[in-house]
Amino acid sequence: MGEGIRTTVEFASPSVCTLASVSEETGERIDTVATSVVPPADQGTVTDFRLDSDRTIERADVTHVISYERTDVYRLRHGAESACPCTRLGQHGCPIERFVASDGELRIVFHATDYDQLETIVADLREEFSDLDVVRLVRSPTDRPAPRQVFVDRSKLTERQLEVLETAYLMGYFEHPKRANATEVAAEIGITRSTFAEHLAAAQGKVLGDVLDDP
Amino acid sequence: MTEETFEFECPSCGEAMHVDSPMKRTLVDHGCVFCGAPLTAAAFSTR
Repeated sequence: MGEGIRTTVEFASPSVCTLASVSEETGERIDTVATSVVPPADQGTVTDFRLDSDRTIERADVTHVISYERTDVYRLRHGAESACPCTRLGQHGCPIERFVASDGELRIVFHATDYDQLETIVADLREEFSDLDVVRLVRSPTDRPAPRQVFVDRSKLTERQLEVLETAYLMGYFEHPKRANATEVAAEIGITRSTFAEHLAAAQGKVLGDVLDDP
Repeated sequence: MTEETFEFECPSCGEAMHVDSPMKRTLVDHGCVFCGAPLTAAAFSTR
């Protein structure tokens, strides 16, 4: 694998990305996002993002998933024909290292394989998004290991397993020291401790199977 | 060690950005990533 080109791009217009629009509406920075497919595949993808804001988001394509303390998790549903910058980069097979939406502006850091791919991507993005600004290009090898991404198929999780996993994560169950124990997380969801443990174990098994490339 | 950074401005299309030394060599070898114009070291300046 080559060293690639670490590319930083910015988009000044919030119209290129729903999350940029949300950042403008709420005045909040959005930099914690995760994208996954939802079955059936032709219905596109969803992007979950965290927002620390008292304001409620009312958009047809965004639904509220869960709240904890001052953090809310929302889900943006992309149509199959979505043409946002991240979708375009995904179509080129480029790993996205960093995503920041703030005050209506969007900054993305991604890795292009080589000059030829970068040239193709820049032309593609510029054709779709006229306000594309390439800010920085870096080829230097870093001390950090190259990003290795795996595909986690979240659709393997049942709704309850996903709720258990999200709630446990947001309440700090996986932190050290834990901010919440199993009893507290179970109470937040409204299930018994043993049921929580069963769902959590099942969810972890499915997620770790993907992370560890175990079919 | 901090990698040297250059300000690149294409003399043909005017696009400007920051690049490091290896990327500077890549652009001089291949041309502007936006317009394909051939480039020389004169298109790069240090801050």
